[in-house]
Amino acid sequence: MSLVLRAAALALLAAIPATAVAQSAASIEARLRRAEDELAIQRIIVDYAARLDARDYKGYVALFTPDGEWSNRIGSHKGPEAIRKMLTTLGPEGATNTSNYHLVSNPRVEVNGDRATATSRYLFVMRGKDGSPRPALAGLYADELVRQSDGGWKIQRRVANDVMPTREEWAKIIAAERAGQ
Amino acid sequence: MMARRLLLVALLAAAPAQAQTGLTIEQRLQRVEDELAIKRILIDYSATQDARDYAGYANLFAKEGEWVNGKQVHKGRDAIHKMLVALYGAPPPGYVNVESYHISSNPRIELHGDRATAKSRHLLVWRGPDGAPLPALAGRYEDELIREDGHWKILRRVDYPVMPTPEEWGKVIQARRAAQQQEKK
Repeated sequence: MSLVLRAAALALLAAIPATAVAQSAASIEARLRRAEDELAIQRIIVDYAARLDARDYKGYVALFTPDGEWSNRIGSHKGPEAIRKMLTTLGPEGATNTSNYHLVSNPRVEVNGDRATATSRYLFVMRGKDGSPRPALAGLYADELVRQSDGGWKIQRRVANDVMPTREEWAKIIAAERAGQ
Repeated sequence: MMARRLLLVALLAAAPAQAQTGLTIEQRLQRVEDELAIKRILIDYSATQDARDYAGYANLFAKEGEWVNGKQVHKGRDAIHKMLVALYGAPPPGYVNVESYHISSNPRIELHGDRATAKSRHLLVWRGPDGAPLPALAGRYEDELIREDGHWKILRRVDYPVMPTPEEWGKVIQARRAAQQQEKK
């Protein structure tokens, strides 16, 4: 065997484990990223409720992409201005809110490269007549998310599907409450 | 000599990270992935139950998986599937559940290689008299899980009702069914 061949064989032998190590490192990196993505998206689902309940409209809008859309069975709001306008119906920005909060649960996250989908559940709890918390509205969120250039995630589309009460029942409950006040 | 001393210092500084856990980076990552996968099973359980997706629900269990509540034991996917049909009936095509959902919370996972245990809580919320959601049933789950063909599956789930008691719950269900029959008339 010539010296050149022997050197080439040695180089090949040395190269195989190195490639394997590199591949394994790449796969570890990809798996870690997947876990991080799942945790980051779970956090967005919780941040959404925190910012909404705290009337942090700026922070809430920042969870969405510039073309982000929020919709439910009544209507749709697309883009930062429209989403912010929808929020102002809840009262002034930053107002202290001790009359309700959202309990979010059951996050299911599916990551597909730079896009993801997530479903979760919400229970809107309101101050009852005697001041104690009363579950008022229950529903499901269905989200589409996109990875941003800085590595973070934003919501491109959130659909809030109310489960109970129905729209008609909800109107009755609110009317009864206003009449009682 | 200086370079050697620096190398020694660097080695000493790096050593504790490995020594603390005794695990490689890959093993630590696997533990994180396992915990996420098992938490997902707890949530998929509620999702499939609430959607009346009986096949999806049964598939969360291992081949020898069992579901236990008091003296009730259902072993194997077929038996678990049958339990759901007996409990809820066969759902119509395109069924959407607007009557109830389960909140699954407080997961505590313990990993032991290809086995794991999990404790969690469930709160059944259903439609109240005015349509608003009403907490109806609260309980705990204690699970044993197994890695089967590379996927985590429930080997044994024990449902421990907290409130109401099984006797009280029987009465609640009877009253609800009677009220629903009344509404239909």
